[in-house]
Amino acid sequence: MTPDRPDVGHDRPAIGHGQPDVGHDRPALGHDRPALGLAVARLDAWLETMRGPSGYTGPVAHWWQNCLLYTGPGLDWRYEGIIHGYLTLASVTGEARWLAKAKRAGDDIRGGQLPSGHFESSCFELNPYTGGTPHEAACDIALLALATTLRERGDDSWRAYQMAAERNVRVAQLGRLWNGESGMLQDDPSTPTFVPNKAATLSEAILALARVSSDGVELIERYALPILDHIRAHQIEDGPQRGGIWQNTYGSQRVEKLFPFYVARCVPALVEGYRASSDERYLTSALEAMEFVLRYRDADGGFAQVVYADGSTNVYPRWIAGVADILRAIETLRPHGYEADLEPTLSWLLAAQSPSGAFPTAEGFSAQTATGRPTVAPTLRDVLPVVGWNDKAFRFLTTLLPPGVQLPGVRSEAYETACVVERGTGVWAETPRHLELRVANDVVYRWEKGSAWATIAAPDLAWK
Amino acid sequence: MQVQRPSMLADRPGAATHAARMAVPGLTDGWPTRRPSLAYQWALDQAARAAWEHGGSRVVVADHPLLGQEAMRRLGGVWFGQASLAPEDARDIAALTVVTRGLSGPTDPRAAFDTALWIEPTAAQWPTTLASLSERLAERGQLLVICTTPLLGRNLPERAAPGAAPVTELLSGRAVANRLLARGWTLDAPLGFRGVRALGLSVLERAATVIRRPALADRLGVSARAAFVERGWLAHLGSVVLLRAHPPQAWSAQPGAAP
Repeated sequence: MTPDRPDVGHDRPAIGHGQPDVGHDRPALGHDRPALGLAVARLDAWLETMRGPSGYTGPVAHWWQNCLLYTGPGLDWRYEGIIHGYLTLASVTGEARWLAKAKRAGDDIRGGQLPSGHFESSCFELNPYTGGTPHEAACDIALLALATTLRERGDDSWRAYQMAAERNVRVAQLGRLWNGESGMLQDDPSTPTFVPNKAATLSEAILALARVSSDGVELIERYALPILDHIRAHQIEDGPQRGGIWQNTYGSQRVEKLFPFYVARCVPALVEGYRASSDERYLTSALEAMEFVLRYRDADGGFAQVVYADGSTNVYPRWIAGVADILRAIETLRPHGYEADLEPTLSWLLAAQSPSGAFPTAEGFSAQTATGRPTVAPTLRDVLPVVGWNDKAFRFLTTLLPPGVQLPGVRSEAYETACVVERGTGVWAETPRHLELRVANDVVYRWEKGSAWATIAAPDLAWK
Repeated sequence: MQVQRPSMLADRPGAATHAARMAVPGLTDGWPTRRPSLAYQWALDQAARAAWEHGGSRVVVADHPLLGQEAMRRLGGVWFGQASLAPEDARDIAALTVVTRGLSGPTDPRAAFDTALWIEPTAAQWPTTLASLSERLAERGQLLVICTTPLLGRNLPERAAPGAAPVTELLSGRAVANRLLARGWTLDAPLGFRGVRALGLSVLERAATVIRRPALADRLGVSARAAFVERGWLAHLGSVVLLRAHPPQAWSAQPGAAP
């Protein structure tokens, strides 16, 4: 245990895991509650269209890599938002059907757990590989929240979900990624890499597991808090990028990039670390990280993609569906006196919801390889609705609903929109059954929802 | 090889993939967490998509352990089964068997398969393996071949892996294409991965990093990724090449088809 750290307190009130995500007092939002309820209902309807027999499916667009060919189930961080969202809906509506959906999602993960403790296809944009970080840890957080809720409701099935999460945390995560010699987590067992946002997610999972484990104090002191300390060591202490957290390190070599989205992903773990330890340094780090993130919010509510050490930025693509995780980070700090206006970002997010109910992935992928503003029409990777981004919107929006709300019955609607690809401007179409991109008379991308592989993918679109 | 019956496979979530995993030699703890390098990832994904589009039963011919396992993860380890959930056991065997060194193994001689994925054919294996595959490929079946190009592919990490054939024994994409064409097979346009454009842009990305131009480096990195797949004459300059071939009889059976 670090000598100057206050004792880990197990008698603190449990906040967060296993409870509905929020319920904090919040200033009035510029959106009426029925509109938010409708947005959530439409998103739930869309999520249903993305289910296959074994889980939530679909292609993935991301900054580093894409997964447009493999489209089968992914047991990755998509389940973090899905399960938390349905747990919150069960809480605020009192309706059992939402808890049933949370359990169904938990069963997806359990059904795909390997003898090694890893989960099948847990690498999101790298799928169908296994051992994904932070994706398996995100699944663990969700499973532990589900288990806690079920246990509180007297549902004996909680044990199975907790066991699945515990096996993954202890065997697949700590067993594989904890370097006993250095006393630190690695993102890869073969190289000394450390990625703060991924480590933060695992730290959250460990703290959640600690609450229900007999060796909880050891889990916190030996693993969770040292990880958070190492994340803090990646935080910039002063200067114009104060509060930013470097994206990763290879040994002693720092990768001098700051992704506001990923800095925000560190915030909930730092807050949880503060709750577990009463060490105010974690809360201070979280607050400074949030301040850094908000410095890169544009007037319309979107956030820049990446900031470099010299202060230059690559603004695009700006995450749309995923921006909800930044809003969630703000909300985790509100009980600690932090105030920030959700409104510009929330409005920007809600305005982007498509008739299908899904939120697009991003704005401006066309500017990823060039300076300046993106093309007028979006690209395939912009419009692509991805479960593993929409879960973040789903999770956050459910927390805005008041107790007793009843969601309207809605369907996912078909729509078409212009879409730019290398060979010209085409038409992007989504229906409850498929996604399709046509250019002139050619179908250049098509995926039948629920199926494991894209039916059609022209080579120039098949970015990995 | 013991293969579970379809009725057993359908009993629980993920059962089909579990059964496929258990049928893959060397896998007892689940799929490996290590991943092949990007050029092979790309080729395997494209091959899997082509196999799924074609439908029917599948067989993988591979010597390289990791690449063979990864092929099975995509073609056999399916979540929405076709071949692994087919009614005939023989089809199951054909679909779930990693065949090494000349199609050995107790497969049903009646079983034809609709897609064969052959990874890294060597000159020594070529005649016998192609003959066996030709016999057993369905009339309208397809042969997918993943080749490693000796020049650009030699520095891929997989080449140093245990079980990997020396790069000098491997047939290039061009050599395979010529041999297939000579025997009357028809070929779709090849796809090359990690070719000269992608490698050149990667070098520029590193240079931009060294001179501390990170924003430019990121743009070059993304550009390299966008140029990772090559078509046309550049395809055969890729580090890894994917070919899709159709047997001669498939064409001769079609009215008006070219001989």
